[in-house]
Amino acid sequence: MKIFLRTTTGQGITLEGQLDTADLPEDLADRMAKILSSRRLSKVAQAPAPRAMVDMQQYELTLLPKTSRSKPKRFQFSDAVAGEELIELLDELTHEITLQKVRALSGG
Amino acid sequence: MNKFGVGDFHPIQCILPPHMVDAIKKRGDEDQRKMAEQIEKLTAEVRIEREAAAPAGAFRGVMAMPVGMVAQVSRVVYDSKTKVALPGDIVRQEGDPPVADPVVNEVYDAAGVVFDLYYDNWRRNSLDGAGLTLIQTVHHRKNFNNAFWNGSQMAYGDGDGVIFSGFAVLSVVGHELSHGVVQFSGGLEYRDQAGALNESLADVFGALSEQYKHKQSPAEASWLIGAGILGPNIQGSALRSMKAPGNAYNDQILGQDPQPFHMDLYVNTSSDNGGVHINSGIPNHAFYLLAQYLGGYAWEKAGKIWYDAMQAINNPFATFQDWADKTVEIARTDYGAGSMEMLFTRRAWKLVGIAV
Repeated sequence: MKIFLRTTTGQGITLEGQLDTADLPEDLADRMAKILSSRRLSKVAQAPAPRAMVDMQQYELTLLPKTSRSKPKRFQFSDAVAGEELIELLDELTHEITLQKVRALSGG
Repeated sequence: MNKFGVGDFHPIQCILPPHMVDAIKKRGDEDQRKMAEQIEKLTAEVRIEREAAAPAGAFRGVMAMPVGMVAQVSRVVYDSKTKVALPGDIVRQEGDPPVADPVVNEVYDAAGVVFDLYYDNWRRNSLDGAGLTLIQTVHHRKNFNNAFWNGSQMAYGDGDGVIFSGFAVLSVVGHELSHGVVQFSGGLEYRDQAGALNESLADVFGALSEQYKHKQSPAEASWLIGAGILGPNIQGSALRSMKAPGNAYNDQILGQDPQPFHMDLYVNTSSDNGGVHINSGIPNHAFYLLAQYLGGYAWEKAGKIWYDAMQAINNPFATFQDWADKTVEIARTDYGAGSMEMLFTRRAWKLVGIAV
């Protein structure tokens, strides 16, 4: 499973990158495959956001196709509607993207 | 002595949130239930008195606390222990001595400074003008690079140790609490220019909180929001700079600070709710310029003009032009037509590309 994740923090900082379950620790890869289903993300992305939620973290998550015939599926939502389990996963995935960048910059 | 026969504002009267009053009414003994009913009655009377004091047709936002009444800050700090659920466990309440965790003490003290800024200068009794308890949660989520106001409380992450090293600093606490002040002052829609004004007001009063604590003049102040919270290897000094928008950071991971300082550089974007954290650089810089022109302490005149405009704007969809017009109108009302305060306010807006 491959995804593209763009996280915009509530302070306007954007972090983005591509992640592949094949490159992630087994536990994280398992949870990613389990939680990031197209059906579940559709529900989250369609949920109405409550008002007065300033500085909420926002996400743009794209499920990348397994084959060249299928299309990517893109979802946009914020912490206000994501739910605890998904938020915890997204925190970990965002951190993975940061670590990827650090490794790339240090030549690792 | 006020009309309720109370010399000072009774702490419980102005501090207890409605849900606690409800809980006492349901679960308290007879005396406690009577007290809760009395609080409810007094709160309703204060609200009616506050609304009646506003001129007909005027915005009925938060009124300054009458002279003779004394407000007292009420703070509660929770620890969510890196979990998502809020608020977490109580770790320090009003009047408690400092605890071992410095982050808890930092946000507790910072909330006190922010309360003082609003109360000492504009007699605002907390975020809602009615003694709302300042609820803050620290250690929120794992590797969380954010701080936010969710409509009823603040929450602060510890950062991921790479990009951010934590958010528990006064300018950020002042920023988040000021989102609450904006909300209780009539609110500004969190999109496009109104959203950028919401962000800018949070930055202005966040910066003023820091200046008020250290008694800094505009020339001495850093005008940085979030100074000291970036990770050790990040190239930058803060999240935002009101003095030099666009120059807070320039880093290989973070990219370059995208804030403009002038309308010619206004960023049209659909991300970040229409660039609320980006275009806030424009009104931020106008405030910075005005504070420099006026001298003294920034909260004395520039801050008062901005605060009064926030109470009077009465337009949740206000544009930068609406806001600029209102600040010039307030400066004219408060200091006189043709006063230096009014002329400098107009000039500050002109220099960021907004003619009034």
